[in-house]
Amino acid sequence: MKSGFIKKIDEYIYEIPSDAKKGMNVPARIYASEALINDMDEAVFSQITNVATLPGIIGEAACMPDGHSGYGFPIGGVAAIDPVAGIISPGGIGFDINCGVRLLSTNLTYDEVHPKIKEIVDAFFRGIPSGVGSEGIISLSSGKFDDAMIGGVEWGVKNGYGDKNDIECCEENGKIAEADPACVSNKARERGAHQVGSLGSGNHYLEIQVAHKGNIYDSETAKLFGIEVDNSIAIMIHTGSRGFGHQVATDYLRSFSSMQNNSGYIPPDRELACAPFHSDEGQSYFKAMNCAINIAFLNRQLIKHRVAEILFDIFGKKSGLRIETVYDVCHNTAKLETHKVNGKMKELLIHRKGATRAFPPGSREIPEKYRAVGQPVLIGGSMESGSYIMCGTEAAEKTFFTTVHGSGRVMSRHQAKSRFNGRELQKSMESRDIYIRTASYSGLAEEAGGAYKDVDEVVASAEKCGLGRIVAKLTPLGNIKG
Amino acid sequence: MDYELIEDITHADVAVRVKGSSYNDLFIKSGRALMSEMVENSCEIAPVIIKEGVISGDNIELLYFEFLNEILFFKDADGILLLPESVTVIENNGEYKCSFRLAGEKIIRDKHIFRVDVKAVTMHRLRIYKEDDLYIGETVFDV
Repeated sequence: MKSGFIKKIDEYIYEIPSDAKKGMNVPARIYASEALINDMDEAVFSQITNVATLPGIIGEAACMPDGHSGYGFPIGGVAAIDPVAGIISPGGIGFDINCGVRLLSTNLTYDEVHPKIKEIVDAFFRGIPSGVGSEGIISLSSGKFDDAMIGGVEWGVKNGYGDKNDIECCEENGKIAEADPACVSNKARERGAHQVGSLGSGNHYLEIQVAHKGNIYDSETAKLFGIEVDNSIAIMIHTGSRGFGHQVATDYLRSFSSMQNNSGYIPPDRELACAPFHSDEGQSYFKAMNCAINIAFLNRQLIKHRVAEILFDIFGKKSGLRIETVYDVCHNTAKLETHKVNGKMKELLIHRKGATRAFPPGSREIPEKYRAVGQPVLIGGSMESGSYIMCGTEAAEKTFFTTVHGSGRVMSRHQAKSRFNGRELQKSMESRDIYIRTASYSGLAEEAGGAYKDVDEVVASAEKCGLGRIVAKLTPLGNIKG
Repeated sequence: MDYELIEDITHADVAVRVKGSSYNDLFIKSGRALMSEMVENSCEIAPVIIKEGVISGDNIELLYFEFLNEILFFKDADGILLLPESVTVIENNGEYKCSFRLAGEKIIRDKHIFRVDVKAVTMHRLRIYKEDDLYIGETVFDV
């Protein structure tokens, strides 16, 4: 065991008690198998115990099985904050506000797509802006950008970039409330208005995936999630709010940091700078962050629309081609949700950074068609290993219905670049039937499968902790990376 | 390379340590380090577009944070890759100001070889300190 303070309290739950570090208000809990916890870097334990010092935190500071070190919160960090007595912190959300994943189902099959994989990936690479400095599918004037900040996916659908199912099948219906453009700086507007509808770079991607016969673990639920037959093709989109969200976070981190000394709480890490949630400053950030959440929803919506256009061009002759949003999940947010605390329902501000909401069966917040099985949870693995679809479970109440978001890194970016060569990796993947195009070979090396944890172990841990139920595994066939 | 990577701070992002002979030198070298992490051939960025400005901060670290984020702002807002040409940091009664001159060019996909996009300069483990005669800055870039 890495840190002397960690106690194993269950096969898949580890705890750092609240007296382990000065200022902790609650214990920290890490949900993981022993193998995963042994692979976690020490900074995770330091960062999650820092989270436990936040004013107003309830229950525990939780870290998901894919946790790894980040800044402020660890990636995979979750904090439920009492909004009356507590704070909001940009470091608990991240700069890429509402970085998230959308999954599209299709009625295409492996046999139809595999022979054309290069044509499809090349068309996606040409048609979907990606990489540093890429401009979006649309460029918005100031007035329209403000409308988009409020409307999110609904704005996209009203303007011809989607349909009603896209609205229904997003967290918050693709449009979170309490988004106020008046709280957004001109710099954020300038930085983001022409990037809407672009992938970005780093770990963002668009991937063509297949649900092979042996990888569908619950065929009834898989059918409900659009995986209707063996070898169905799905498309996964991983991106966020681009420069707009980055600037919103930067603006408020600076502002919160400047006034922190007067707040009575000195965070152990300046990245955890925060403001009381109900203060003017806290509310202003909350409303600006909600604008960025909506822009990220719209970003993924525009990319979905372009994906559909490209696939219709290529498979135009296939009658009844279906490309539908299965669901769209957020990774980096702070949302007001109602949860049970000591037997009573209570409104909480749930910070999730690199973690996915996973509401159980019966939740009013999820589309009616999924209510019997629980919220679809989309776990993006590395580009070599595959991804998973899970669904929410009652047992995840202990993490305020939160689960993993991806594989989680096991190697730093620099280590990965030293270990892997981007061009060789591309060739090696092609020999394994994964065709990939990238805007940066150096960036590709950083995202090599070997830089990530074993996604099978991560989702198995999540399931064994009760943080979701596995529905299907999706294997990569083609990928574009920024 | 005028900077070093710090390995044990973060897996997801990039932590750097930069050393300069003065605050001015530290800011210039840190701006170059930031661009170098994004662009493999950052030394080939032609100085054809000039951006000048003055920023302020409650302390030297906030000023540093602000300065580096300015470079990221221009990259996204105007699509320009910029390297610091000159920086003057002034302290007056505990308030810090920085006037800067950045030079660079528009992003050219066929010319600039990109590594990764830095989304933001974070405040995680951000510190500036003096060791012997050197001014040292440490920060984490969100990738």
